[in-house]
Amino acid sequence: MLAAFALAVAALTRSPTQANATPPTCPASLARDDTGNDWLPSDLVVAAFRSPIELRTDGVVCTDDGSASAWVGVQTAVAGEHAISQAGWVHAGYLLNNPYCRFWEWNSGTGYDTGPVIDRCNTDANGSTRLFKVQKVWDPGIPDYDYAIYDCGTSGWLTCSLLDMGPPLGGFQGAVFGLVDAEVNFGQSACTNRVMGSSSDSDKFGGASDPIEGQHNVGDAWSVQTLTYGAATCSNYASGTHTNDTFKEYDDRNTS
Amino acid sequence: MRRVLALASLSLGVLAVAGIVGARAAPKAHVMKARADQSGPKVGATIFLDPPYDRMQFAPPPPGVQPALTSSEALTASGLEAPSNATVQLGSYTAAAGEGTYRWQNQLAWGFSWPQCAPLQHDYGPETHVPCTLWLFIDADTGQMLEQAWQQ
Repeated sequence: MLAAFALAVAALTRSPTQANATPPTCPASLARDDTGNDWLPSDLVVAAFRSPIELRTDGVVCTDDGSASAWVGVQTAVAGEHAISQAGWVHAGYLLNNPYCRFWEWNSGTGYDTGPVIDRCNTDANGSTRLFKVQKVWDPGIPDYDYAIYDCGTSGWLTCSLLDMGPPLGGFQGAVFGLVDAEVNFGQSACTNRVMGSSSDSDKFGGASDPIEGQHNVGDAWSVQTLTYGAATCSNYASGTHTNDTFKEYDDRNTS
Repeated sequence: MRRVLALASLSLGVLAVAGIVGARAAPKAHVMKARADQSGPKVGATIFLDPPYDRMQFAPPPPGVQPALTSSEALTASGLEAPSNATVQLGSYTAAAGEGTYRWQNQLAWGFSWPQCAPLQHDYGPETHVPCTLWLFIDADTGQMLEQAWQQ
């Protein structure tokens, strides 16, 4: 009796995210692609990594399950393993109207993945900057450390909201790195999705006054670290700046 | 004819639910905003979205509670849309962040769900179980988007 019923409310038309581009249909096979700035300490120990991330509400992602995201995270450094804890912005082509939203996600490294948990869709304006961080936190319930995920708002790192305790440290196999990253699920040679940002308005991580920073061991001071740039396969995904404190990326097809 | 019968059946179901709801005392804040057409399918048993962690759950709504908005009104107010194959239930949404804090706690919500596999925002391998049921939770009184999550 109380079973859910099918909705009759959906309008099946989708709105292009910008006037000059209609979302294409997603290819049959995933073609994940990314460009990023990585902090790989020599001992592969990272207690925390954080960055202000600016939202750019441009780009195009394919229907029905395309996405493009800009995020900060901590990831396992073990080849073939996939534990990660991440947070930032996502352009969600898998939702009708392709909104721009905040998101977080983690993968345990043992097969469990939350998928992108998103909120506040289309409530942040183009150019909004939010502060996101992933930090190792003791979880007495396991007991182990987790890589917890925080949204620290817009005006400094002192007040942060815990979004989720994240994955247990054990899934990271004892070797991790921190990274800021622009990610798509349909890129590479077909380059179907566009990342957020244009050459004149890049998607910006960090900056000289509020840089990308890492914490090596729990309790260490936050500091700018040596970052290594990694280019995407898709040649349209570009980075004008990739220094230790700042990372800018954009799609050279975006005009807004 | 089949469609008409289905609609008639649904209407009877809604009336039955409305009768049950009407027989119970609802919290005042919700009663004040109640309207005749807010009854709808309700969560029957608590749904845990993320076992074994069990941080996100969609529970039956408190007895007698009526939302201010219908599911369609709430969805429209959110600015989001759901596909035609989505299902909707009224329930109480809780999402624990950890350390005794919550993103949402006992929030009366319309939960829309449909089959959709998660586009993971990172590299992953065959060992990863990709969740393929999407949930969109909308505040049943204000139409504010609470969050969108995945059922494992």
